[in-house]
Amino acid sequence: MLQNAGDLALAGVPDLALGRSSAENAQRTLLNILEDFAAGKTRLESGQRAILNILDDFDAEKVRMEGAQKATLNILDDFVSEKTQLEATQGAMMNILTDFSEEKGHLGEIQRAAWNILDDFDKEKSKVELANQQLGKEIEERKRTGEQLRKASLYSRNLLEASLDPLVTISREGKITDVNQATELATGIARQQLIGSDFSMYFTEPEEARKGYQQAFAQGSVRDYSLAIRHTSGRITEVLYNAALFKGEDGKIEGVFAAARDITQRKRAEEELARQAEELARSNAELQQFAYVASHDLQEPLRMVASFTQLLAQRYEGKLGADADEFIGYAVDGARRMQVLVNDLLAYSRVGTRGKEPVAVDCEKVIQTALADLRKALEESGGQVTHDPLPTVQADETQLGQVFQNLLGNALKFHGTEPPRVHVSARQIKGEWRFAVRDNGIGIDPQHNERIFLVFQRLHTREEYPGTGIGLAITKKIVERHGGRIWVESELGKGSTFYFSLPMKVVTHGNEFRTSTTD
Amino acid sequence: METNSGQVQPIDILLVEDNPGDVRLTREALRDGKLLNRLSTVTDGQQAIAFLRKQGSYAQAIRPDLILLDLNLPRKDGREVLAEIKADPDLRIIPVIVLTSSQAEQDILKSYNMHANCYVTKPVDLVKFVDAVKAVEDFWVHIVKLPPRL
Repeated sequence: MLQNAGDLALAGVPDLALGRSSAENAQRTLLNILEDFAAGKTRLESGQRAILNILDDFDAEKVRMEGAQKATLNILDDFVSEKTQLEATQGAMMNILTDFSEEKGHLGEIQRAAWNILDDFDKEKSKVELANQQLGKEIEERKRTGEQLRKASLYSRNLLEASLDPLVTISREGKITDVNQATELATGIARQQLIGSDFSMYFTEPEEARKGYQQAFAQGSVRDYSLAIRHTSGRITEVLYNAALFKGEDGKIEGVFAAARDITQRKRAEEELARQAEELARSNAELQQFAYVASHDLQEPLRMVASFTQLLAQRYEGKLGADADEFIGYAVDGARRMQVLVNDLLAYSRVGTRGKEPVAVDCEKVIQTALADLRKALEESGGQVTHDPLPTVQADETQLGQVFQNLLGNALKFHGTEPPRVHVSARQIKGEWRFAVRDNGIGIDPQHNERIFLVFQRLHTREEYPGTGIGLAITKKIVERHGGRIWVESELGKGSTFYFSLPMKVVTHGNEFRTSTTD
Repeated sequence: METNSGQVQPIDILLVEDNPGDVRLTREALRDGKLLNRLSTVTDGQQAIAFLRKQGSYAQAIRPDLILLDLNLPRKDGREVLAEIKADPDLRIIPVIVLTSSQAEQDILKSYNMHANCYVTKPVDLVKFVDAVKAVEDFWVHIVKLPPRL
């Protein structure tokens, strides 16, 4: 109703404007005509003046002119009626507007009713708003929790995916329920295909794999379970599985979560290490065997050379001329020296082959035995050996005796003008006994600190100090066989101190401590 | 061996030794002795057993009063020879002196276990070797009463 009235009003206004503009057009046309007429009159008057005498019937023209004037007036009359029409339209419009005003009145009532309703609604609204607020808070809360949950879940997933270890969850039936990317990489099979398939079918030994997860279900977990994953390309990944049960919210067992650690590299390294150890053991054994065979089997022909050159010397000395005597002399001496070397080498090789298991050994006793054996050297050198209280250690008694005898023997042997003064002490340092044999002898140039422990390495001529140079090599071998170290601190002319350590708990070094009776 | 008159009689010795050098050295060492003991030599274990049992070419062999036995022999090892001698009721009465270059405890123990009468390691040095052989000779020939000849 209201709208219709509006429509009317809007329709009427352009009509009115149109009416006004057409009246103006008529006026303008009329003015143009009048102008034309005025121009025509002027022409006429100039023509009248020109032909003053002639034209009398110009009256007709005058009548026609008046007629035209009348028509013009009629036209003006029409314009007036047009204006009246316009006014009528305006009146109608006013009526419409009046109607609209009445309608507005009605509208007011409706509005008031609406306001009342809205008022009531307002009251309700505040209640609803309150509820809404609470609801909003709750929703916010839930949203936050949901977000946290989502984040946590994403985080967990990312962690699982980031793992380089193939991870998998297995159902009680042995079906894969979830995997990470590492599993895809290890098997060469896509997640979609893996999920729902049998866990055991991706291993070189499916039966073992089955036992593995069954054990996890039965015992709750499995540790370092060795399996090998077979990739579709045939590549094998050696793994150790660690698996445990996982439960759902309700505490019910959902399955087994299994993580595989790729130990291919480790296994390869271990194998390599084992191979090298084996090789080393073999090469050691060969070396040992070689040293033994060389020294042992060399003895026989050497004994022949030595014996018969000696026999030659005994029987023919002074009978074959001076040259023959000299030659025989060198032959006898060479053979004898070689016998000593061979014997020393044999003794050196026996450190390993003839070693005994370590037992508790009283070093005081060992040193007394060594000193008894060195009595001749002590007497000849006028030396004196003193020692601190010495501990009981775990060692091969014979060999430890040899160590003391060699070190004390050297200390007595390599003395200067002063009679040798030797002191033995022992200190406990970091789980080992450290022995020191200190002398006042000729000392050693520190550049030879390593060399002196090598087989047959000597720093002096035989004329200066006799010996083959095996003593310290044997000593070192014995100490190392016991898991200790040996070294020297010395300066030329200022005496030497030989140190050696023995661990307080002797670790058996594989076959190093094997007792051997073969010779 | 002393006779009733108190004279020492030469004895028969079997040397089982494959090394001709050692055979000669032993011979030299025994040559210096007071008596010209008869020394027979075989160079492997099979020959040794054949000699003792007078088999084959050894039909005329003399039963020795003493055996000097090397352990490392071709064909039949000295240890086997020792075992066979000591398992033979007829031969086990003959004293066997193991004369070898082996110093292995295992060999020493095994030899005594098989009733070797003594074990001597050949000294590397000539003088000591000669001394050892002479000592063996002196002991077994002059000091020890050997069983009577059958």
